[in-house]
Amino acid sequence: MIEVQDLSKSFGPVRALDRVSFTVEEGQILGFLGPNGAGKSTTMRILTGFLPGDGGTVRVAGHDVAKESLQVRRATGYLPEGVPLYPEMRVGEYLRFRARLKGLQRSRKTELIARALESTGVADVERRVIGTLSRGYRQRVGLADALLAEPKVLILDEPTVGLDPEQVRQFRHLLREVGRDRTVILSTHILSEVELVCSHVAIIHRGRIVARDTASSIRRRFGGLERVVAEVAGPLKEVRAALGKDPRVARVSAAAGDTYHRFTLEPAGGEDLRETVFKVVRDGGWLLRELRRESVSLEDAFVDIIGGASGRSPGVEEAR
Amino acid sequence: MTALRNVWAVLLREVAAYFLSPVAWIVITLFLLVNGATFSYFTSYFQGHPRQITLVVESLFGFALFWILPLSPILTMRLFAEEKRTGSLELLMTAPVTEAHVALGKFLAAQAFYCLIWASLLPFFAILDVLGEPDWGPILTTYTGVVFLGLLTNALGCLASAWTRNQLVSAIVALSGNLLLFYVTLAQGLIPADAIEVQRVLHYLSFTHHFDGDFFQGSLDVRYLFFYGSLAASLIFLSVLSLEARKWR
Repeated sequence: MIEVQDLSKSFGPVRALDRVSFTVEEGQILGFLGPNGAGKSTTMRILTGFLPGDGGTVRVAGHDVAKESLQVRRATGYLPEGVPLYPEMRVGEYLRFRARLKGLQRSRKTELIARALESTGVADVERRVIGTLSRGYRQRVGLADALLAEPKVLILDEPTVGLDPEQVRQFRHLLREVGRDRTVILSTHILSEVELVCSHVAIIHRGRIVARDTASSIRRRFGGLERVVAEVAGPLKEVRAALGKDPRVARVSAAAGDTYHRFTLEPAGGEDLRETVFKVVRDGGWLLRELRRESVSLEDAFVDIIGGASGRSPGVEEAR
Repeated sequence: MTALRNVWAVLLREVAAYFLSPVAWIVITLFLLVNGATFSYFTSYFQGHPRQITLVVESLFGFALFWILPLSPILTMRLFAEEKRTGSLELLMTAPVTEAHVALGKFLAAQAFYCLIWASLLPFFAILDVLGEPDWGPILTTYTGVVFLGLLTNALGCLASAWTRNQLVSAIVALSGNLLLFYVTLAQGLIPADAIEVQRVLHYLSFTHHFDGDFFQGSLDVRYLFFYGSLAASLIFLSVLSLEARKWR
């Protein structure tokens, strides 16, 4: 549904995107993940035809973005970062304006507007002035607009920024609902969001795609498997050396405490390391206070993937 | 057909936005207030003499003409600058519409509102019609001149607004452009009268001359209207290019 091939984009001397390639199949929800300034917004602006790329091809819903921009825009619903709506208009007025702009047939317009209002839960504020709405409601009005023409593709740029936790929860629920029969790409720098909503993940860093897979396999691939955390009272160096001796342990990291030190063990394969820890502690005659497994979150994977590169890329996302 | 519908959609929203913003109401109020004061001043010694009626009409238009200078910049400054500042341009331009549709719709909305403001002078003429017998010819030709000159000044305002994300900058740039047009008249005095070709060009450019020597007299020189119209079309074309310019960077 969305095919991006070798997409590059520069703003003057700043290279915002560097040969970015990814595809989103029909029905997938892709989480587009990256730190601020990584190139998320730039990619989305190119996908929606707001900006052209410098090189590479982008096809959305079977149309080339550069050559058939209007067809692409007809097939896409877009929610830009910050949801810039007209604050002086009423919700209903605004959606009628957008419906006219999107060329919806007069006979279907009323029905489609009603459906969009309904599915995003903003029917009760239809007569309210947009500027007086809360952030969460404005976000939903933006989503209602994006859904208006029943697009096959939905492009959402940082849709949950600025919402309170309850609103975020509702918005995610809404996303899962509308994503059922659509292809969705949503950008975010919040990892839990991707874990909860998305089927697939693409991680972008400094204009390059650094990882692209299903959410679960990214977690497996980059985060290793289940780690074991243990708190042991004993000489730190000795305990650490003893724990590291076992070939099934890939890495041991230690954090010093007053009497108890915290050790984190990463397995080389799929083994459960808890027994190993217990045996080592028993053989050394030390004390064990805590022993638990910890499953690796996408957040750890993310930090792992981009962590090597220090600092942040220039703020190209601010460029308009 | 699609183009027309898109232009119409943008136009409707922009006209609605005028009525939803305080700026428009302030402008209308001031316009009515000042012209009302002018009107009552010039009619205070009114005896129904035909020459007197002509004088009232000319004064009314003459004073109102100064409004041309700030009116269009104020009406047009918001059009693109605000959308750029808030980022709503992104939503607008990712809808299935072209830059030309958007620019034309916005320009026509400004023009419509501009005409509406000028229409507020009509009641004064209606009063004159009750009191005496004003010559409707010059009134109609002046109105035509005002509408066509508005095409030019509004197009200039659109271009200024398409250049910046700051409304104030847009208004100042557009006002400077209008003043430049206005100062053409003064420049005529600085150039020797025997430089006939230069004088002719300046005369052709100077809108105050067009009004004093032509529209106020009840005649319509189509060359002037064509001048306003064609210049306006070029400026709108440049506005479309400025909107597309984001794609060239």
